[in-house]
Formats: sequence, structure tokens, C-alpha cells
Amino acid sequence: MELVVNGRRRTSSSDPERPLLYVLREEFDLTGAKYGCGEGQCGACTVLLDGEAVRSCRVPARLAQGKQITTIEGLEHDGKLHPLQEAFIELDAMQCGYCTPGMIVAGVGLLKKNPHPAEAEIRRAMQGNICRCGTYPRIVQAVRMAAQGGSHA
Amino acid sequence: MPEFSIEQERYELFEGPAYHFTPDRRDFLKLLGGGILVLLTLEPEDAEAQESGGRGRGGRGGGGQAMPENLGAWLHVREDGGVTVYTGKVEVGQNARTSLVAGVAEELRLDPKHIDLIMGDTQLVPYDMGTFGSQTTPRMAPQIHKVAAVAREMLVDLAAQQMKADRSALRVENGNVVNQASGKKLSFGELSKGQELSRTISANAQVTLATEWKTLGRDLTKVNARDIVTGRHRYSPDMVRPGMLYGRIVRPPAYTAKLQSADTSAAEKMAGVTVVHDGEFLGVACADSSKLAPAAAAIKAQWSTPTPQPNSNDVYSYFKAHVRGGVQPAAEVTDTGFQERLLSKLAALTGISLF
Repeated sequence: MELVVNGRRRTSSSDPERPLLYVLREEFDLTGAKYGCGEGQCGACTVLLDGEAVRSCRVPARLAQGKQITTIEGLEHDGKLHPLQEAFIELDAMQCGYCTPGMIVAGVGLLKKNPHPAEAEIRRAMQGNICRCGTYPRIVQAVRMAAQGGSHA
Repeated sequence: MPEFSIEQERYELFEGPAYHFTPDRRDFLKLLGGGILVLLTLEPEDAEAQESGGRGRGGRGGGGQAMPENLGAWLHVREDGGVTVYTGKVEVGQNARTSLVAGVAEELRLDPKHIDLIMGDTQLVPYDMGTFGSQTTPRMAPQIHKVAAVAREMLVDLAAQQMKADRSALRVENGNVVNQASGKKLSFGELSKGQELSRTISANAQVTLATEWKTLGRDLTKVNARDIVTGRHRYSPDMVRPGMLYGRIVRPPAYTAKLQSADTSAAEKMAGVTVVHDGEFLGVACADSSKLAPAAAAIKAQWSTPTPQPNSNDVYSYFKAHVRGGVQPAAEVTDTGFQERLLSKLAALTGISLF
């Protein structure tokens, strides 16, 4: 199985039915996407497939073939962070940070579709991403900050 | 209905460490690679009062070079001028990594980016019973302040010797000791290079007064924020060891339900899956963690049905029915002494004083 992850072509020897999350984490050692619930309920495993945020724990790897897979590790380019990553740091929009990669990838997915979302749109788009520490207000602020500064977003 | 027993917390089962660090201090510095090492010993009563206990016979009788017992924390000014601090505390989202680094930055007048904090790596850090009970700031932070403050004064001593200057003319800033009279400066790296200095201090070392703080008390970006937002930070589930398998426990459907039998044949036939069935314990292990949920689901287990227990729907009626001495009339709830009486009642029931 051929997969394109963060712009790089990679060969996977996994069963094509194996969910993408486990291929990324256990075969390619890309552990930025997290295992949270394994049931598509928490958003910790969020990655982009052709720019669309998906729950990688529920997507069989075969469905990612022929698509651009972007993980949290792929958002930084030449040492420069995505504006949403910058905003998360600046606003300290995390405590333990376990949900953060999924949050950021979901936010990037939203900004691709809607570069200037209203607060209600951010809340709606991010409601499938759970933060056990409860940093939601700052996460929403971070998405707004990235959108405002965000021609790159 | 059976009385409920309170489950023990892990720290209540504490037995004391099975070993004590007893390396020679010179060996220790060689291991770390030269420089300046400051170790903090706890006063016996401190060690007993806090989770950093680990009392016992320390040292190996090698004169003054033996490692002291009851070590709380240690700090190493490396030969490259960077600083590594070792603590048994761990980061669990409470921002201890950043707050402890900030204390070191304060005492050493050093940018936090030059400070590495090793947390909870039991091969490297002093013994610590655990991270719980909001003890990191009241207990560990003062220890870390003290070792950092003493390290700073050792750096000043070294600079005074090398510059042949009076200590009072020297000032520590940005990883240098600066002679304010001559403008000459020596970096931490220049000062620690080739040194094998170690000092053991006790709990009464002088730290910077809060009124003079420059780093503490101000906003500080989480020190490893960049690693978190780039996915580079490795949480324990992100770590891989050679030959490692992932595991999943097959849990009973209710509290106190006992395992009666289990048909594990379907799970055992799944490629790469190992079934663990040992007495009451039932679980599956596999190198591919995506197979754990299906393998666990393939096990047909029979569990005993425990006596009915309160659930989240009827827990309040359960409490009302079982409160010792019966429910107080509602009128009493509105009077002024209610809170005190409630607290003493709770104290009488639980043995825990909330005053």
C-alpha cells in the first residue's frame, strides 16, 4: 500500500483495513496523532485527508491511498510553524497537551474551509475534539487569532 | 446490601524504596560528565513528612565522598554551561515542568532555554514517592530553588578565584558572571569546564527573596510548548521499547463481579494476539494495538452477578436511605450552624476533618 504522508511517499505493509492511526503511529512512528478513545469520539487522532479533518482511528488505511495525508508533524515548514501552532503557544492553549495535536489539525482543517470563522462556527467545527483539562476558551481564541493573522491559515 | 469499603490509593500501600542510591559523588560527576553538582539532603523530619522520603542507610563509608541519604533534588551545571536539574516529580498537565524550570532560571539568572529538567526517569532522578496532593510547589520547588541558588554562589566563587576579584563586585546575569568594576565576564561554561565540584547542602540554603524575583511571578511560555504543538513530545503511550506489546484488560461488567469462565479460543486464533488468562485476570496483548479491541471483544467471559449496587441514577436515594442517624429535617438546613454541623458529621462518619 502506498501512502503520501506529509508530502512524502511511503510504503505500508499493513493490512489495508488497519485504521490509519495505527499505521501512522506504529508503522511510521508518527506519534503526534494520539490514541484517545479509538472510537472516533474524542478527536485526539485527527489528521487531514486532502485537507479534510478526519478521525484516523476510524479510517481504514486503504481509504487514504491516493490522498494527501497531513499529520501534526507536517504543519511545520522549514522551522516555521503554522499560524495556529504559533497561536497555541502564544495563548498557552494547552495544559497537558495530549489533545493539542488533534485540536490544531482540526482547527487547520476548519481554517482551510473557512478562513475567517465566527466564534460559533469554531465551536461547532471543534465540538468533536475533547479536552479533558478544559482549555476550550483558549483553544477558540487561538483559532480566532490564527484566522485574524492568517493569510497562511 | 453490603457495606462499601474504601479502595486504597496507591500511596497508602507504600512500603519504602527497595534500594538507595549509594554511588560515590566523584563517580556520579564522571557519569554526568564533569562540571558542578549540587545535591540537596532533606532534614529527617522533612523526609518523613514528604513523599521524597526514602530514608535508610546512605553512603558506603567512603569518607566525605559518599553520597548522602535522603536526597531531594540535584542540579548539574554542565561543562557546556547548560544546566540539568533532576527531580522525581512528573509533568501531568499541571505545568510543573515550567514552574520548576522558572525557579532555576530565577536563581541562576539564566534563560529557561538553557535549563533541562529531567523528570521521573527513575534511572536518573532522586527517589520520589510520586506526584500527587499538590506537593510539587510547596515541597519540590523550594528544594530546586536551593540547589540552584547554591550552584550560582559556587559559580561566583569560581569566578572570584579566576578573576582575582572580590565576590561583592561580581554579578550573575544571562549565563555569565560579570565583574561590574572591570566589565570582564566568564560564562557558566568557562567556569564549569574541567571542574569536578560537588557540594551537598541541607534545607537551610538562602534563596532569592520574592520581592527581588525577575522571572518568577511573571508570565512564562510553557517551556516545551513547541514540542507539544508539533507532535514531537512523546507521552508514555508514544514510547516504543524493543519487543513491546500493547495490552488491553478485559474488565468485568460490574464492580466486584467475579470471573467464572472464559472462552478465549476465537481470540487465540487471531494472528499476533496473545491471550492472558491468569486466575481472575483476563486480557489480550499484541504488537498491533488496533487488534486489541476486536480481540478483547472476541473473548466470551462469564461473570458472576454481584449484589445490586447504587448507580448514578439512584445514588442519592441510596445515601438518604443509608445515612447513619437518619436524614435531618429540612428546617435545620437553613439555620446558621448547618455548615459546621455538617462538617462535624462528615468528620465523624469518615474520620477526615474538613475544618
